[in-house]
Amino acid sequence: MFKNYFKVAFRNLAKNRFFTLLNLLGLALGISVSLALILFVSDELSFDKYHTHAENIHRVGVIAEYDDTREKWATAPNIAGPTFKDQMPEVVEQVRFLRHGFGETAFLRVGEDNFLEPDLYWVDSTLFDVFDISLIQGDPQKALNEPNEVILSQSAAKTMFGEADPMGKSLFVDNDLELQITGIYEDFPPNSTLDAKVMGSFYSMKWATERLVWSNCSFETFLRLHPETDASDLDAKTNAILQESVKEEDRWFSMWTQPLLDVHLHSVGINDVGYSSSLGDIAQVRILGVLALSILLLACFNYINMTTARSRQRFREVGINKTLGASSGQMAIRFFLETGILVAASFIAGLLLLRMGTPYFESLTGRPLMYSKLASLPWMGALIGLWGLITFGAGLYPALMLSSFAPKNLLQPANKGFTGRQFFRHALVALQFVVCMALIVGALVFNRQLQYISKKKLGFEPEQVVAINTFAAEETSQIEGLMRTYESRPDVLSLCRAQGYPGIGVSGYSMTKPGQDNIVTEVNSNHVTPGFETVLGLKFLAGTTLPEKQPEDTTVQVVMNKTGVEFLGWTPEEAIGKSPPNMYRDPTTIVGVVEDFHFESLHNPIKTYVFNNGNNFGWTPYLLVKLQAADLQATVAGLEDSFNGHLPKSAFELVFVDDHTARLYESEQRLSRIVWIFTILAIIISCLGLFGLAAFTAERRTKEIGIRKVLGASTEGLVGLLAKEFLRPVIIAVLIASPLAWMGMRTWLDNFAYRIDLNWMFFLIAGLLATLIAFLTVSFQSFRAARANPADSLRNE
Amino acid sequence: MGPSGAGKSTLLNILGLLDQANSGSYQLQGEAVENLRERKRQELHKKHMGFVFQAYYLIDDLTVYENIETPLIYRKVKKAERQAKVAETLDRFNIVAKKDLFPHQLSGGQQQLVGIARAIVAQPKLLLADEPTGNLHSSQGEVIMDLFKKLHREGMTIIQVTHNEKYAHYGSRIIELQDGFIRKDVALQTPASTYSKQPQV
Repeated sequence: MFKNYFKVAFRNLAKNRFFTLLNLLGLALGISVSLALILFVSDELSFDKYHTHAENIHRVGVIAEYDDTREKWATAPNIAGPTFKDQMPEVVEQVRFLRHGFGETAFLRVGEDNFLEPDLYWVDSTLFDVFDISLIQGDPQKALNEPNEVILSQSAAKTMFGEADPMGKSLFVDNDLELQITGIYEDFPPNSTLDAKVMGSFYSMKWATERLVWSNCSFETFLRLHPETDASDLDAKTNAILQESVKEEDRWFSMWTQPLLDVHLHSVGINDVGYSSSLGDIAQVRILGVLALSILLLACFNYINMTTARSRQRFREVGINKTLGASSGQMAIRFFLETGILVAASFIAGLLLLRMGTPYFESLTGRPLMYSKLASLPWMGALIGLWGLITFGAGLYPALMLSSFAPKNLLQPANKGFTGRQFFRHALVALQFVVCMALIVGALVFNRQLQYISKKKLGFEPEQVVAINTFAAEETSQIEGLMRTYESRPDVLSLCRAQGYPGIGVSGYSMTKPGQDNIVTEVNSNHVTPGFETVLGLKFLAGTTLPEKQPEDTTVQVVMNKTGVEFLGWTPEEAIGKSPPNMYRDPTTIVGVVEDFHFESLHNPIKTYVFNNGNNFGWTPYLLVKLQAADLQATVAGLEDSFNGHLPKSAFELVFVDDHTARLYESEQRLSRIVWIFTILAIIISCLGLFGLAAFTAERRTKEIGIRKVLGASTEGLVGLLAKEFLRPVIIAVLIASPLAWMGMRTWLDNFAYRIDLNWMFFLIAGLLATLIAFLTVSFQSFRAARANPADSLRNE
Repeated sequence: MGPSGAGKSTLLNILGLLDQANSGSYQLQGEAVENLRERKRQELHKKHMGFVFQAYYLIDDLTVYENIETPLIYRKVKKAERQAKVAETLDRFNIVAKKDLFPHQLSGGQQQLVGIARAIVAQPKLLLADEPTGNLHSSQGEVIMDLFKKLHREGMTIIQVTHNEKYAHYGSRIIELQDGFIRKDVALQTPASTYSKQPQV
């Protein structure tokens, strides 16, 4: 019997090639993007699960509280881990990570070769007891037990040593510390939060090992608990220990913990996110999941619409078969089978599309797409399950509706209930366009906001400003020599030394309102040398820049931004010569006030920022250089040459400040691109369906069109008549989608402290666009039908 | 027989168990069927009825052979037996040469021949024909009517709806309907059939 069903199904699909192709295309597109997204989402959800103790590992962080802000950090004091291990019986082991130079790039030297390594960590020897790290060479019991030992990832070892055996060889860090290589570990898998390339023994950092204090919260700390431990009161227990250990007046933070398995997706909103460079975002994962589902639904709606649209032909077939003895159930199975065959074909086409689109998709998400995973057994099962689900979802309504046809109507053709079905189809079209409309609004708003960000006056001029890392200089004189060489270049406009630049973090201090010691605000403090104002293009509101520092001068001069001065309750002019209360330990004088500028991303409102020249703030790893280059490449090459001349034992690292600030919006830009792709896909799929429906309607109404033409109707009038049928659901969709899209976009824009206004223009443009696209799709078919010679169509009966 | 709207097709639907009467009773082989459950009605329909239509209603996507085979498939007849029965029927109707053609490749008369072959292949006791010659010219019509006569002689009950006075006289009894009521009921010869009915539509 099934053989017969198959035969009929195949012939039916082949006969209606046009509709089959439209359905196939829609379903294949839907399937390929949803598979890509399902793969992506499953990869995101698989993070860190590979560790044996994954479920029992928790990260310890602190919540730093000021009066006006409350920041969550993923790092903790160096004393926290050992203390918790001592005092909490459920803690089996702890491990601390310290990022080299608090996040600076490390300069590594092997023999005469220099390497830049942004991911160098100092790690406790207990690393191997907490995480699954397999040493290819070396002994986990010994590898990090002594000072000045280091283990390398396989790829790092290959870069530095090529084919030679690195074990026991020396590695110099910042031309200062000599480490001995005691192990090589397998590279972390791509779904690992830990991503260190080089890990030195914690004991190499003498200050961090010997002076255990509760004040410096720079250590990413993980606790491994007993398997049976209830982790729900971990926060309470760690805070109790903190309260015993630190006096209340010195306690400026509280503890918090986070399961390792939450780290990848649930770390958004943490101000200091810890040491991983591959963090995900559960909100983004959810958005993508919803998008994938919507696209699949759209494709299913198409199928339902196009199949039921042809119901008149199919009813006849059902009626005949029923008079020949078929039951409704048998007919339903036949229709399901037909759907199943088409969906299976779409799967094959979808997988091919996915294969072709893999590189593109990878560049969109910035993560490798585990295409090969699909070949594994559980995934095969999942694919078959998905096939069944789509077949069921797309086939259910057509199967039930078509198979319910009563054969008595064969002899008495009547089309009762036809308007009801028409309504159902129009409702599906409306739903498709709700999705399209919402996506179009989303894409437009994303685009405008990102444009706004890139055009927004930042309050400083980041163009052609480069930051060169001089951290590894052996002597200050080397840097001074380099600066003199740079100054003499015609393509260098100005330069200064600095602790940081807009876009990266600087030191955190606080100050209070004059006379009100209990009102505190956070201060970002950047130690610089004079010249910074021309390098960054800052605008002075009052006063002057910092003076050249004399060694015997113990006061600290600062240039403060407008927000800071406003907090203090002064005008820029009043502030000159005054001292901000409770900021630095040394006496401090404001010598200048600059206009506000965006030193963080536009997600955050501007806070207080000061540039200081205090003698006790000696940390200036960067050389900031403002260029005036016609040929940037040649200039950069020239800068590198001089750098290598003055600092032969350092590697040259140069960052364009404007590139760096642009990168702050990487995740938004990625999301925006993905939404564009989805918008286009959703429109294509919906239009395929609309196109099919219009073709069918035109066919169904040929006779009516013929009669109308004989009665004198014009072609344009007929096109309008036919198009009207489909424009109504589209317009209703626009009305439904607008408030939904408005709410969604409101929420997204709330992430930005500086944002565009959501005005009605977005909705008008999106609505017009959706309507226009729908009209063009429909009118092609309508036009063809309206142009036909009525003599042909009327003879046809 | 009867004018348009007299209720001929409705009566045929009721007799064929495709529809239910608003009132009255219907006995099939002595069994009252008007109150049977859907499934049981379908069983009886499958067991006893064959349908022939004015517009042939062959399945466009199936060949002549497959069209004739379809009722046997729904009756769950085994493959070997199906082949034998279809071959026999093809042979009997003299259409063996056309077995691989599709309906649109046949003339109207040939299509109706296939329609009848399909209706009787499962050996129903009752053949219901709704204007089977309505779309055919007269020589084709006569071929069909001769065939009906032959089937009837072999013991099949045939109920035919027709407008054609001449073809009506091929039968053994003519019932004339008007507005749902029997206006005239003429027995032409002694009825050879075994069924009884009192239609009140």
